[in-house]
Amino acid sequence: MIHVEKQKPLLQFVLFFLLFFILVFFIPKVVTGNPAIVLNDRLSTFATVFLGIFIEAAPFLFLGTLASGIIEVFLDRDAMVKIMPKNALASALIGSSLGLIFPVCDCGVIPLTRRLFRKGFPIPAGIAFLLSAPVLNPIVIVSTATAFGIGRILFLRIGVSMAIAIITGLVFSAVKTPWELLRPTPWITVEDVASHEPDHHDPFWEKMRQSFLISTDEFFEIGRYLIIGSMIAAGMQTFIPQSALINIGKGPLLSVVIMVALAIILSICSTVDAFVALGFASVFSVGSILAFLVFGPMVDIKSTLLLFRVFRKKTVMYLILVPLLLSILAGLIINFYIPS
Amino acid sequence: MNARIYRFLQFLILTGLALFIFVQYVTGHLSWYINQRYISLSVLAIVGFLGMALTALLSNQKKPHTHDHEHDHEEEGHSSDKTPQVNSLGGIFILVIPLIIGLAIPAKPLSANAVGNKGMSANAPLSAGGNKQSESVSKAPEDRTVLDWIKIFNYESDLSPYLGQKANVVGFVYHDPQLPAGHFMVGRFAIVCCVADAFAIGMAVESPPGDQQLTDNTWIDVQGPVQAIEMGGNKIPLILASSVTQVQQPSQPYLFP
Repeated sequence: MIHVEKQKPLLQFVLFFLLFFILVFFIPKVVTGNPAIVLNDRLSTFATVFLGIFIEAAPFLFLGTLASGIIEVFLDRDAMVKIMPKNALASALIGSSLGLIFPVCDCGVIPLTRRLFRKGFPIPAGIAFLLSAPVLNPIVIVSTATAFGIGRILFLRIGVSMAIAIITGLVFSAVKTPWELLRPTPWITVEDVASHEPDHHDPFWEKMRQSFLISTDEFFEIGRYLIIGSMIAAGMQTFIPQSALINIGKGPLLSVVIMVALAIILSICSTVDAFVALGFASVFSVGSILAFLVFGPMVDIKSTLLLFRVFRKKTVMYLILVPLLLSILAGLIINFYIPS
Repeated sequence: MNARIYRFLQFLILTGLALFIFVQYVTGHLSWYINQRYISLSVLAIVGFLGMALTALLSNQKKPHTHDHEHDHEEEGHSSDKTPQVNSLGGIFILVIPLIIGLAIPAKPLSANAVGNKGMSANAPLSAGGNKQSESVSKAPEDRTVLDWIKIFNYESDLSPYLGQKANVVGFVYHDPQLPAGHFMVGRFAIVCCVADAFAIGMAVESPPGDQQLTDNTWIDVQGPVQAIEMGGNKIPLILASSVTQVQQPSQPYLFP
């Protein structure tokens, strides 16, 4: 069964992006005058921020698609189905801690989850993995411990992320097959890249070549969404005054909302966001810092675009809203009920 | 699209991206985009891109069987030279955007122009690691950067030992509307992970009498004793400038907390 992809969503993104450009570059021009200079300044800030996000995220996306290629070639579907428990809670639990084995961050986890679904991964496990792997992986744990020390913030970050991932995974457990969640796009599979020549090579290296070619194709597939997402994030950073955002509210309630908004706009990788959050720790409430650390890796501008590429619209709405509400709730509980 | 052209384009784009990051690495401009600490990640990206480029090229050179060739455009074809259907021509050219932007817009670190949007602060988020300010405190006053002074003003409970010490800092000029006339900020961008999280920090400067008006974004070296001034309800450092000299932009324009 092969579906031919419609190009429409991509076109919409490009149009949206053009509109954005007009907003970013021409409104300030009307306001401040001397259009050439303002345009130039904005453009150079935009370019620097865009390249910064892209250069930082590219190696992680590469690692994610590489893992996906290796799984496609080397992992047997039947073995996977046998290993994973049928019970939704048990499989969500396993899924949420699988990040310890596959250390991927928020860009790489999306193609990897899709690949796992193809290999027969249970739905609660896949969703829990998608949401928790960017936090519950060795690199992020080490960077969080380096930034905040081994203590409350570290344990809360891991615990709350896992809890939200498992709950969201269970929300999805009513869905029977992953095809209801995933957009009907064609798969890049072993068949696509297998060589039909008489094989003179070592079968292992031929398999490695196939893995690498799958990850190359997937990098091209997902990479464009990373690029468009980075452009939107850079555009918003050029346009929305963050100083105003930070000054709006530092109270126990508003701070949580502001830090969540900041996590979405900044679109930084989960492997390093602890250091960024640490900077805000002196000014913002503990609950808001935690909401930033928990929600940021699950959803931000660039990963939302990747999600829309891989999942159906309705799935993406759930994947954003459930963790969003739970993260804010967790932040508020910590601010109001747990003495600091 | 012809599958062989497609693989060749992939090879070209990936090589181009790898080369672009490599050039940034060699020229030292990479640290205009990301924190020095994470430059090894970009080296990984260069290696990964080259590996993928090589794979695309190798797969391109495999000669398909005549049988496969005839069915090149059929969806059920199983040759290695089949174009993956998920990637259209327009789709793969989006991957060229970073190259276009990188080459068309001259590489520049963030400047005072970005401050208007990000805001400049004297009590910005700064600390990384346990000992927040001890290193800044132990430095000789004239060796402290803007960041060191800001840390001291944020984390030292008693500022009196520091007031009157002679500062010597380099930064760009930024005229903050909150400051009284004759004052401006000398600022730097501080970066934790990459430019996406950059924030501007600055110290207020009272220009020496009769000094010419400096335009925003001029890089200067300011010397003079440090005092405290109230701004937006916070105590921020103020340099009573005895001398202000124009300097070249430092090769590393950012500071890393």
